[in-house]
Amino acid sequence: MKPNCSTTIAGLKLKNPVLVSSGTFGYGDEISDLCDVASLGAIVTKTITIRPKAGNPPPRIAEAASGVLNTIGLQNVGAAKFVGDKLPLLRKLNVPLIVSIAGHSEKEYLSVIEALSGEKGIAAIELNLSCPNLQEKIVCHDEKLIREVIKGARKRINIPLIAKLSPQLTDIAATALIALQAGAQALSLVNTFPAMAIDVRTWKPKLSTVTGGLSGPAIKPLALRAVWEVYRRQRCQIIGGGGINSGEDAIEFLLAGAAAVSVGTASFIDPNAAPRIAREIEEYMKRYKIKSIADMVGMVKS
Amino acid sequence: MAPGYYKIVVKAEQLARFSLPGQFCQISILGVFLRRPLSIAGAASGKLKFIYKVAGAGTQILSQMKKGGKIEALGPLGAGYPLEAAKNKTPVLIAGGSGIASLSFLAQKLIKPGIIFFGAKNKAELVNVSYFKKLGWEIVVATEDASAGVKGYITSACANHFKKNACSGMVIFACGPSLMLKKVAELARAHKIEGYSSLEEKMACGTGICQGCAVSIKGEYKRACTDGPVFNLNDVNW
Repeated sequence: MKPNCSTTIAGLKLKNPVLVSSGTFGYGDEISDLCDVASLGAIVTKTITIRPKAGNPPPRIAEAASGVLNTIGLQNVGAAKFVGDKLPLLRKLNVPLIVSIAGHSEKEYLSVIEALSGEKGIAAIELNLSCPNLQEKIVCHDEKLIREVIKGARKRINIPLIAKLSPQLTDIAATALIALQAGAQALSLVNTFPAMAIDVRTWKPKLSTVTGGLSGPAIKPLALRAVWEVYRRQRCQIIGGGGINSGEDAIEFLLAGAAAVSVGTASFIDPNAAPRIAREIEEYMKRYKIKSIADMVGMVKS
Repeated sequence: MAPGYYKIVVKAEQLARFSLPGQFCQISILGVFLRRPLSIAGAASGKLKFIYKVAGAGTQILSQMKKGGKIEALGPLGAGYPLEAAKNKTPVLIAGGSGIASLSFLAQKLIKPGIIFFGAKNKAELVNVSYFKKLGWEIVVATEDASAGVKGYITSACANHFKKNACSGMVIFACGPSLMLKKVAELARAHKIEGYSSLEEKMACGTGICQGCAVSIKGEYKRACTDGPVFNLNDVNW
């Protein structure tokens, strides 16, 4: 019995529920010789801002137990170069493309949307409302700003909108509701956790910006709780991720309420992590005779 | 090889066949999360050689491995030394500490031997010098504690060499601590010598997808793992 691994999220029908997370897969073409990209459910690109961003000075990376701290700082080529240079290559990959965008103000978010609105080949937009590595605050801590950005985006583009939230919210399910009511079709949970490390040989912080975002297996139980919390209160469409490194990790997120899963840091250790995880999900379904992804979404026993 | 310095030789047919000097492999180590980038120090007869210095938890665990074990390596990664730059020129290699690793591989592949300047803390840490002797290289060493060669930093010996010799036929390949490389870049500029350096920066993926290992090249951040690790000395913003 071949299980049906397809899933529908934000109105997109994907051949399997595995996406690669924004910021962990470059612009999609960097490891196309190491990774079977065509077998992915979807790609979420590096976050694009209206103007190119240089990113933060090194050191940008520090290891944690079962995780990574990063302070990349949204280094990206900017909207114009993305459309001109990166998008044509991404279209050739033949995988549903979700473009992640961000800005320092509502106006900046909307200018990126405008730059992308005529372009073919973009399946959905992921609004990065939650990067912890910029000078200004994390957008999703500001309700008014979330509403304006999503409403403004909704007016300017017809494709599905996905809101990516920070896990550092007092009440993530309440913020989720704001995003959904403003017009987001789905949520991406969660972005990295604000964290830090210190070098005891030099007494300096290990990251150039002192704090950064923690990702990897260390955050899985925390991210899973966030997905479960939002799903049980809002019963909405969720792309869940945080430390997923195996098919079974992914199944946990599906059971908690995610209809699709996001694989990020795992690709740093194993360039083929995401396709491998997609295969492992299918093997799990075969072994336990699960017919479809929908049979698992939100089905954790309470 | 010396206190804190270790050599690994592994059977790796494909890696040995396709590796180029200046490239590295991302090594999986049980007990730490991220892979560790190790410079390839040699590739011949289906075998790959690494030389590394214990720097922290990962390399500490790696150094405990016994003969007959297996390692998991992803590679070869990175843009290596431009071998064609050495055509019709005398190669001048400048190594600091564990920088000797990638330069050992370079020496293996260069057709004509040249001169190698090698600086380390003490005599014991001047590892792999015999390899260069075997290949017929002229060797100048420096140690901080004067236990071998010139006392002090190797860059002083380099400075003397460039002062006393016609520099137009030289090409520099350098690998070592940033401060050493910065000094080498200054010397190269002053004496108008073409040169290349292998840079190091904290890395997560090593494959170009995360932009963690940013180094400043001509005013822009490039990836040490993919756009580098080797860059033209003139282009690096020290």
